[in-house]
This record gives sequence, structure tokens and C-alpha cells, in this order.
Amino acid sequence: MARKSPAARKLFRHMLLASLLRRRSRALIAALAVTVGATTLTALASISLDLDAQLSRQLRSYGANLVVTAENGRLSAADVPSFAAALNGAEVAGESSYRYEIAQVRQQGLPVVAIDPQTVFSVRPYWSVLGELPEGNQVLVGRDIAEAMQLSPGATMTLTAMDSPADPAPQSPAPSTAAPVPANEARVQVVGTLSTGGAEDGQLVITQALAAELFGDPGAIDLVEFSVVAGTEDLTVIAERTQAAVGGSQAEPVKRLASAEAKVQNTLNSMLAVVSIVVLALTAITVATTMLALVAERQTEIALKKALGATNGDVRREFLTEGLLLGIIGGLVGTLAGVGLAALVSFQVFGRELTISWPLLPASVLGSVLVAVAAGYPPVRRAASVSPAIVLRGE
Amino acid sequence: MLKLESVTKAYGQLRALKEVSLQVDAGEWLSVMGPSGSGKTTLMNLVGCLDTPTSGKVLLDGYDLGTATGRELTRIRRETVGLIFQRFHLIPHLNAVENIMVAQYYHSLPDEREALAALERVGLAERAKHLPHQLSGGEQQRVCVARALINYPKLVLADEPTGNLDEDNEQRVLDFFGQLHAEGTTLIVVTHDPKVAALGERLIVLDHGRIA
Repeated sequence: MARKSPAARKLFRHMLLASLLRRRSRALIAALAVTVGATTLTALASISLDLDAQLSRQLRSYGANLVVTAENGRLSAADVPSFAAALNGAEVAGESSYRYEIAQVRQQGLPVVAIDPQTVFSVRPYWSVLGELPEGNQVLVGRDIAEAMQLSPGATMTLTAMDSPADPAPQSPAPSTAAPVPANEARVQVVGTLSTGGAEDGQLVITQALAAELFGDPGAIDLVEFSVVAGTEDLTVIAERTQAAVGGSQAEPVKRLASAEAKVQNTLNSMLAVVSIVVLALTAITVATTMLALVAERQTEIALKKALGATNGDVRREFLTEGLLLGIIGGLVGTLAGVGLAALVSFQVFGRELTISWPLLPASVLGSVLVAVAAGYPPVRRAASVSPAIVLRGE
Repeated sequence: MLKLESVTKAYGQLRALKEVSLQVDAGEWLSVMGPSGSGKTTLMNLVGCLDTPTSGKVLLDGYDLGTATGRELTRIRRETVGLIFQRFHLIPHLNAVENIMVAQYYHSLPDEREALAALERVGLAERAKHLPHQLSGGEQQRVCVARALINYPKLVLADEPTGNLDEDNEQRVLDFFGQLHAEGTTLIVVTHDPKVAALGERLIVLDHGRIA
């Protein structure tokens, strides 16, 4: 076919570019509409795709989102590496283990939680400590106990080990009513008060080393907490994997956080979807109206071409190619600008670098081209319907 | 070459051509005159394959235009008719030679050498790379003539070809028509100018849609 000859292709390209350059302001408006659309949609899609991880990181300040307990009996500190290995590449923002006991102080049984002072803040950043975390023979006293027993930093007391709870509740083990058995004693000094608004306000906090001295059974733990950077669905999978890592263990996502995370994520995603649809519609409308204006301006030229022998298909091809070109230019510029914008937002809002979703980039360019071509189709149909007879009416 | 048999063209209630019959032989130069609204443009549209009759028959080079589809009309127009317009209708962003190559492009194959030769024939070889706005009215009309002839049409339809030209340029275009006629090209020239009309071998005058 003659139209496929190099000379024909060269003339076609020249006609196309010369036509766009002649009406550069309109072409620029159409390309700009596609650019703005592609920028917005790429930025929104990039942020949306990265949102799960970003949100997860932000919500880690509310504490652990994965807890591991023993189905029966207790866990061992030796199990912790197995749990950590089962996380298998997931980003772990924090990890700490706890042991729960009951101790007698001034004839009263009180819940004791033994912690690792080095790691506890990584999963319980919301702990408000007035004073210091305990070391050696020191104790951090929950706010309620401190008030009830009028304990302040510097005070000393004797902790007497009692029987450990048969079925420890991880967050708030109930004081045992079992009769005291002979146990080790330790003279401890109060180094601070703990205020969380939770069960810890009624607990005594000591180190795991002191717990081992007092209660025996070194290495025994009742609870391991992990703060994992993962979305709700991923977290469920991670929990299942972690549980399978050590027999007799039970791993569960913290539902309160997981559901809050999912809720925030769903709300944001819905909002982003609505904004995307609006932007898409605005882009399509701008491209369509600009191309309609282009067709109206070029009515005589179209009629002349048809009078010279151009078929409706020839006319459609020319205008669709123009739409395609505007879509490619706008799509490429817009996609790059969109990634830049998303990176900026990510840095400003979440304070970290954006994880770019590479498949999104060609998808965005392709989407822009499709929108430009689809929006240009009604004007193209109008162009093809121009009657060649108008060139003979002296118009 | 061309035969119209009782051709009527109506636009709604308005009949622009009424029972017009006409025959134009190959190589003939026919002049068409008539006041505004007499049906000249309608006649040109039908003969130029830009429209179809409401009734009657239009036969062009053996084709019955009344029964042709839009695509067939395009093909017949492309292969048979060369159009010359009063307002030249050059594409403003293409230079003179490219404007001629556009006609080649839609006909078959653009050939710059051939297009340049056509420009040379109308005395514009040195203006080949000029854009339409850089050419005078006479020069633009000569480009339009070169474009109409580039695909060797059997019939040249000229609509007021000298209507926008000064006397010198009018003469150059008419001399060129004389050459074409001498070479055997069929010419139908619509004009208001009796001097131009007189150059044809035959003159028809349209009035209220009929040949007077």
C-alpha cells in the first residue's frame, strides 16, 4: 500500500507535527491536561500502593501488633530466635519478651512483669516512666500501686516470690489467691513509676534476671511481642507462620491495631479512588473539548483533504494519531512528575523514601494514552463526518 | 465523459437543481454561469462526487454516482476529478510542494520530484518551499492548479478560479487552462466573469436550478 512507503510516512509525520505546532497552544492545553491527569493519578497510585507499608510504620508507635504466647505452660527465651526467623524478611520494628509472676509485698500479692529493659520501648513506646527502667535489684512501680502503697523513687521494699500463675494472662494477670509457698526474697529499690493507662499501672516491673533469681526457671517467658511493618493481610499470614515455627505456641495479630489499620487504609484508598475518578473525568473532558475545538478550527482543512481523496479512515487515523502523540507526551511527563510528587509527599508526610512500584510507570503511560485516545474519539468521529462539499461553498 | 439525466437535487423542501440534463464530452471546455443561488455549487458538488442526486442519473467516466457508496465516491473523485477552488484552500502549515504532495498522498504515493515538476510547470519552482502566507494570491492559485493536476485527472472542475486574482494572474491561470484544454483535459469552469466564460467551447447558464 502506497501509504506505507517511506515518503508517505515522512509526509504523514510532517503533516501531523506541523499541524500540532501550528496550533501549539491548543495542543499544549491537551498535553497539559494529560500531564496533570497522569501526574495526579501516578502520585495517588504510588502513595496508595505504598500506603500499606507507610501506615504500618506510622502505627508502630502504638505498640506491638503481633503477640506470641504459649498454648499451655510457658515459652522459653530460646524460642525467640525461631519466632524471629519465621518473620522471614518482614521488617521488624521492635521485639521484646515478658514473664509474669506474682510477688508478695507487705503481705499483699501483686502481679509482677519481668521485662528486658533494652528492648521494651521498641514495642511499648507509649510507656510513660517517671524515673528510670529497673536494673539489677530495682523495681518500677505501676502508678496505681505507687499511689496505694505510697511508694516513690528511692523507697525500698521486699519482694517475696509466690507461686506463678497457672494460666498467665499476658497483659493483665490477675493476682493469685493461692497460698504463698516458700520462695526467695529480694530487697529492691523503687527507681520510678510507670503510667500507661492500662494493666501495667497495677503491676511491678522488674528485670528478667531478677525474676530468674526470685522465681527460678531461668529463661522462662510468657509473652513475646513483635512490632512488624506489614499490612493487615500480610500480618495474618506472618502470624500463622510464626505459630507454626514453635510447637505449642500461639501467635495472633493485635486485632485492635489491625482493624484500625485496615479501617484507615480502606478510608484512604476509597478517597484516593474517588479523587482518581474525578481527575480522570476532568482530564478526559479537557482533552475532548480541546480536540473538539481543534476539529472545528480545522474543518476546512479536513474538507479539503476529503475533497482530495482522503477517506473517513484517513481522517480518523490522523486525529487518533494526534491524540496518541499527546497521550504519550503527557503520559511520560506526567508519570515522571507523579513519581516525583509521590516521593515528595512520602518524605514530607511519612518522613521516609517512597518505594516506587515500577510496573505502575508503564501502566500510567499506557493509561494516559488510552484516556487521550478515548477522549479524542468523539472529536475524531466529528472530524470524519465533515462534508468535503464545504470547500466549494467558499467557506 | 459526463452525463446528467433529469437530475434533481433537493435539500428538504428546497430544490437546488430541477430536472437538469447535460452532457460533457471528453476534452471539452464547458463554462457554467449563473447568479448566486442558481444551483452552480450544487452542480459542482454532484459532478465532483461530493454529493449524490435526489433523483435522476449522474454518469461520470462510466460510473453511476447516484448508486455509489461514500467510499466509492471518494475513490472516483480521487482518480477522476481535479478540483480548483476560488479560495485556493492550501494547507497553511505545509509549503507549496508539500501541498501538492498531499494530493499525491491521498491518491497513491507522494513523490517530491514529480510535485516539484508540477510547480515548475506553473512557474513556481523557486517558490516550492514557501508557505502559503508567503505567496501572493496568484501564486497560491497556481499551486492549487498544480495540485489539481498532479494525479492526471480526466476532469478538472474549477470553481471561480480567477475570482480572487488580479488581471495578470488571471491571465496566467487562463493561459494554463488553455494549455490543459489543448492537451485534451476536460474542463468545467464555474465563473461570474463573461470574459472567462467566453474562453470555453460551450456555455451553460443556470437559473433557479434549471439550465436557461
